Amino acid sequence: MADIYGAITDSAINRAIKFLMRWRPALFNFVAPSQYPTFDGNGYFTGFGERWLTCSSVKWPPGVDHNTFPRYTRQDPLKMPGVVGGGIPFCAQITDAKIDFHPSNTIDLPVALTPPLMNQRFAVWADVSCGVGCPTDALIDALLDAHFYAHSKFKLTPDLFNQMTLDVESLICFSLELFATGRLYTQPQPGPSNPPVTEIRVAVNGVEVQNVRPNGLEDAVECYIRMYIRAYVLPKLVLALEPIIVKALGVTFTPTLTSGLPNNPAIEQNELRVWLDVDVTKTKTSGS
Amino acid sequence: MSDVTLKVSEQTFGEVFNLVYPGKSLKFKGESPGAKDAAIKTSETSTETSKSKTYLNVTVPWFAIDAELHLVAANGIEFNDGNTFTINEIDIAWDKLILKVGLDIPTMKFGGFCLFKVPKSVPVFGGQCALEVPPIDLFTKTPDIEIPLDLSPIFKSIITEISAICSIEIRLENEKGKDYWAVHPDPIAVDADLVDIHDTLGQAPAILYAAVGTIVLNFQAAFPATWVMDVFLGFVGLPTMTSLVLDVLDIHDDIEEWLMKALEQSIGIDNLLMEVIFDAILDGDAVFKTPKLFEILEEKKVKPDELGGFAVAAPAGDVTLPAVSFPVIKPEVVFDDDEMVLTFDFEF
Repeated sequence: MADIYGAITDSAINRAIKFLMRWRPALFNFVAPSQYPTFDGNGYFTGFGERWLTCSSVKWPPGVDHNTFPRYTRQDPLKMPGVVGGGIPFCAQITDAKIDFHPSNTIDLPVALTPPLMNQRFAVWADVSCGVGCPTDALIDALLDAHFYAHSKFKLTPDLFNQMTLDVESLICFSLELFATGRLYTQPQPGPSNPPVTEIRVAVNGVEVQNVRPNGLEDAVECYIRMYIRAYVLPKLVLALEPIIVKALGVTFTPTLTSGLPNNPAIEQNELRVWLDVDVTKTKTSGS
Repeated sequence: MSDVTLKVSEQTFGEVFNLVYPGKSLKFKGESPGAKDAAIKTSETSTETSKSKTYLNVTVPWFAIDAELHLVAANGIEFNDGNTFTINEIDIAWDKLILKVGLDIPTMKFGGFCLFKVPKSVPVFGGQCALEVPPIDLFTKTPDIEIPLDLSPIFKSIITEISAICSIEIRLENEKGKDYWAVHPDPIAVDADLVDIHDTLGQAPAILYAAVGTIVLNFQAAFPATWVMDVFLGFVGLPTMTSLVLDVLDIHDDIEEWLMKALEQSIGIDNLLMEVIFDAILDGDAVFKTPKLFEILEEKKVKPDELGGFAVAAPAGDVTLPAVSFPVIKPEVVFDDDEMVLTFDFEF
């Protein structure tokens, strides 16, 4: 028998996600703002202003100061060859999301992910609003002129322009539904820790984007999202079983996964479950 | 289904209990009940002879203890049916045990009479008192005789076993401005047993006689006129002061038995032990705690150029993102087989 068993339901996690969306919107809304030049009263250039353009409006949580509470996380603009004005502004907003632990009962998986959800798997669904800025022809003409003028008259390099983001006043918006399935696995934490620390990690088995047309674009988006999830999101979703100091009790719990179980951690009965053996010791205080 | 379920095994619960509770010093005091009121019969009137007899008016011995102990460990925790658990054999170690034995003898007026009168046949001084015993008040203190018996050397080597049956109670507590749901043992019954104490009281007679001897010496030092004490002892018919004290205290040959009777019957040390352990468990630290506001994201300072979406231009200094916490509600604890099951929900 394990010393400690813990379980949390997918329902609780889904409510937590909605709670976080409300109170930390910057975690779910990513924006590369457009930039526009600013001038003083005499018409001299003074710098750049920013437009934080989104496709889906984001409210401030109640009671916060709108002047100091951020709603978006800054992203670098999209860089593409031939864009004379620097990067392309965009936004990516997760407007809704939920998780479903086996057995699946809240997410209808698309055929591409071979429903029903397999044992010990979880499914994730997200509704994503995306937008990309597209400069007007007039702006493109102006940028080309400025680019030529700066280069021919003042020998300025294109770097100046590459550091800018295109000045647009709206985004071309589209939305998509993202589905993913995954599982948990464990591995020793890299490094010379003794005893070795076990990490609980997330692996993604399948990603499917729906409602993006044409299919080629959908495949490209899926490819990018799969890469983004594996390279950026999953490395952050690691739970290392390191000693837990409970200051209130003055004790330290050093957990290890209970061995000999078919699945530990497990995703079953709509819960994420983990069985731990713990070594309980008095917390050493400084000076003792 | 609750949002979160935590199960803790008996063994782990016991390990936490043995880390949280032992080592704390528990002090307690107590004294025998009714010491001031109960008195040995002081007079008797016989209807047959119409004669009145007067006895020494002495209260029964008064006992008090001044003790200090600490919990060593519980030898086992057992989860029971009915949402209780049994703490088996909590070993306690005595750090101090001083037994005070006292007598409160009613104040007696003594003296004020002529011990030797000059015979009337003697001229001039005849009939006058040649040696007068001055009037003095005896036994004016309360108690008049107090004998502290330091039994610590004996009891230090005694491990006393106590068992307790507790239920589990969840309390909302505040610590340094932060609210916690705290899981506490709530004692229902405590059983204390001074096991095998008779076998370890070998030094008791020496301690007792030394203490009584010291007290008697002090007492005699207060009354330098030893001849007065001799007269007094003769008056009550006892040969020595030490014998008087031992006799009045009802101490005879079996010191151990007398000591146990004093501790168990007069003091009720078992009950005092139960009370102090009961209070220690009741007032002790929680065995598990969870914050009432479960902080999932801590407060964070970030540079404003990493963020956007302010109502106006980004502020000049760092931006503080407040912590995000979930209220924990409906915590419940039940015992399921060999596990303590703690469940709670989040309020969103």
